[in-house]
Amino acid sequence: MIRTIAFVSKPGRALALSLALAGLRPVHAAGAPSAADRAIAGVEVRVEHAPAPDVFVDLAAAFMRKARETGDPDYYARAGVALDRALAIDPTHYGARRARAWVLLGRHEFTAALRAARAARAAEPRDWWNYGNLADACVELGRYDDAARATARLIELRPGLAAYTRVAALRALTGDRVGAIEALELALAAVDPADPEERAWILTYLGHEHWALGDLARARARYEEALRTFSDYHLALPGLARVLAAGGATTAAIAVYERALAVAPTPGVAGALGDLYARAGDPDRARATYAFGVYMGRVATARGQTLGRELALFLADHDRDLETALRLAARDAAVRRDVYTDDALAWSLYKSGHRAEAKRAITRALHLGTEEASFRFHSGMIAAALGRPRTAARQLRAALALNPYFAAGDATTARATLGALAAPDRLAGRAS
Amino acid sequence: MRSALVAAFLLSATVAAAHPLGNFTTNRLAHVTVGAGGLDVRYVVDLAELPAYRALAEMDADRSGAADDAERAAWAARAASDVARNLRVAVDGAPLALRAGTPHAETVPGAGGLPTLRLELDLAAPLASSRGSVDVDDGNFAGLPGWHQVIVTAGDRVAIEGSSATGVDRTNGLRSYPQDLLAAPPQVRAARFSYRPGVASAARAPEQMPSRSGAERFGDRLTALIADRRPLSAGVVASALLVALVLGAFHALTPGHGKTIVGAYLVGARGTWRHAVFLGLVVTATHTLGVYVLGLATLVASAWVLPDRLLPWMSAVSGLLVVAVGTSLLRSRLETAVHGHAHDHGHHHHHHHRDGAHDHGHSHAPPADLAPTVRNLLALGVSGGILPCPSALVVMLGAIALGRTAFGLVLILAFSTGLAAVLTTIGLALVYARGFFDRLPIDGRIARYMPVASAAVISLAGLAILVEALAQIGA
Repeated sequence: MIRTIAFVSKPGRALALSLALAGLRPVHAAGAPSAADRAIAGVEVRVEHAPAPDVFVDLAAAFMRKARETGDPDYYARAGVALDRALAIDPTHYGARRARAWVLLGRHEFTAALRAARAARAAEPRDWWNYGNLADACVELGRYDDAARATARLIELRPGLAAYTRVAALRALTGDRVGAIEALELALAAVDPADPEERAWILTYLGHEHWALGDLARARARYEEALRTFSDYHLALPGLARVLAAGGATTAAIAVYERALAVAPTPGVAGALGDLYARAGDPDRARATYAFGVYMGRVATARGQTLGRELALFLADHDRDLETALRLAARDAAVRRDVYTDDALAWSLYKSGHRAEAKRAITRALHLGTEEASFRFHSGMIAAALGRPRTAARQLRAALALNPYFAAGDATTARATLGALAAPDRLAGRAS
Repeated sequence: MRSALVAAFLLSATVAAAHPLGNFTTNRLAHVTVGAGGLDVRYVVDLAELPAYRALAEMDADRSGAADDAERAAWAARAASDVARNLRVAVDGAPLALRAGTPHAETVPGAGGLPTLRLELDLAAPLASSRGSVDVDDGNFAGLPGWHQVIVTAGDRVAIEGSSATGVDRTNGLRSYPQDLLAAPPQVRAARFSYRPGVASAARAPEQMPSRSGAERFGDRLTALIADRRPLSAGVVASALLVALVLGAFHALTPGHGKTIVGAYLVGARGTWRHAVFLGLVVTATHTLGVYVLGLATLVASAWVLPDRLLPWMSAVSGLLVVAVGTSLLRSRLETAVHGHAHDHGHHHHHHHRDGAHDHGHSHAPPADLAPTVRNLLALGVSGGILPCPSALVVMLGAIALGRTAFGLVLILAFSTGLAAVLTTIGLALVYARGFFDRLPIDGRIARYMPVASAAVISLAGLAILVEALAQIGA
């Protein structure tokens, strides 16, 4: 707002402006700005008056908040520029250096984030903040032992919300989803009421954990609560749609998926919605929605960005451009060896006919004992293709036992494959 | 390997052309203008690559793979009726029925040549009353990320008051976004303002933000002083007056603001400290009165003349005045310098006296005809003070618009006092510095021609003001 006064340079325009600007007061009407919008506006006024490094770090934090609210990665770039500005004024500014890791995590530059988090820890080994970033970077990179160490240190220095969410992440990865839910409930109790997005984020992750255990009612309640806390929350919309679809509420699920695709489009959402249209007997819409998912990859490439394993899984799931799927998954796997990347790589390898490599990748994906129905499903399908029907049947049954709805099309495929495994001859023909 | 490098290079080249906001943003701008004819809204939507893709797919009703003109027009018409329905404008609480014109949709190449989509729509409604309070609430594309802005400007013969929205479009109708990533996209979806007959202010196309000088920043602060809507406590008033005083002082240091003229005159005219103070008082009085009169004249004349047309003319008048004083001084001083006394005829035979230097020393008395006259001082003070100062004028008109006329008038007085204080100080400094120079053995020719040179400087300064004013008038 203040910025606009800058145009006061010629008399006529100055006059028009001074009159237009006369009442600088916030409008609390419909469509009021979010917490992040208010934070950004507040810091931008301070930038105008006193462009100090601290102020630019606050601006970066406000942009990070907006990125989390909207899912728009554009704001991570803005946060990065704000930190650059702070460090240009004072290259030793600690606040800017420790926030660097946080911004790099948002930009999915995990290796650089780990480096930045370690540098900040070396500067201030007693700052709990650094251990949260360290834990996140290590989880994303698949360095689980390091992540556990950082989390332990975080709990020592600052038991609270930041520690609970990291504990939950590690518990979920190691197959303890009930423990993860307990930790998330603790986090929920500790959340700052002035930060609705953070509350919505924890509720959404609770929804994900309940979903992973096949508990549709609890998952739905948590997603709905998240959306009441922060309307149109981009992470909760696909979760709710998935639960609705699993419960047979197809029309409602389609509406929520469509909303998710408008608010923050991702290949995963396009794939799930396409599948739902296909099941609902609307092949035209299914095709158009899949095409939109493919187009997201084109736009990302045109912008010099990469959609990694998420696009790879979408392409592999829908047997589209399997070469690209494998290339994207392999590129992700070259920099991060976390179980989700291993799973995406395994599935892309399997779809491209590289069964032996797929087997190795899925074994790595399962090594933590993560209770993820899709991991079991992928493992079962790979085993079936390798002619190991007993392993295949065990894994497919485990997938369905974990979450009978896990991914609409996949659960169906799992059941069909299980049926076929009873008649090994037919299966051999199908898998070749 | 080489082809991969080439591809990487090409990719980086295309990045520059990408939509500057995120690839799934839905950017919208509602530009509201209230004029004598009624209320107009120019509504622009700019869909980045991903929403554009979905819209284009939706357009292609016959699924031919591409939208033809008819399909595009049909889509635009549907989108326009949605926009019109969700854009709620109320005047004094009563909903205003906006009539939508013919919408226009076009694709614009974005990242890697992939299309983005623009929709432009003009909406209008007549206004029943010549004054009222307006609420704008843009409910379109709710919840979708992007650039959201409502802009309010005044059209013909209408004044906008107390607007919550900016009057400036930084995007040229969502065609170009600020490159500075630290300037976050606005998230303004509502606005409130009132309008009444009054100052016509042109709603004009935005220009690139000029790089601002320190002086302009001070002008901004002055405007900000008056735009602050907090209730006036004694402390606020006192600090506002102090700030205005300081701003006036700094304003005196901006180029073309008389200090050259004052200094040159006092040096040339052998003025005393009394002259310097008198000059300061005259500048304060004329600057204050000048802004008052100009403000009044602007309010009265605004129905016929735009204020930014009026100001250059005032500048021109002031410039002419300075030129007149300068040339008259130049003539008399030249004659004094050449002949030792005033002459009636206008011939100046410099070369005849080239070798006739004689010692002026430090003890000579100033020639009587070079002492400042009240008439000359008055003329100079008036010309220095009458130079229109846009930010002072804005403050006063802003104050009037806000119903704080008295406060605005007092602020201007403080501003003028600060201005005059600096001019007087410069004058005094020069008067005493000259005393210092007088004690130095200076070559007689220099001493003799110094008054001439200063008169020439005055004339040139006046000429510069005139030329600049004429250039503005011509523009």
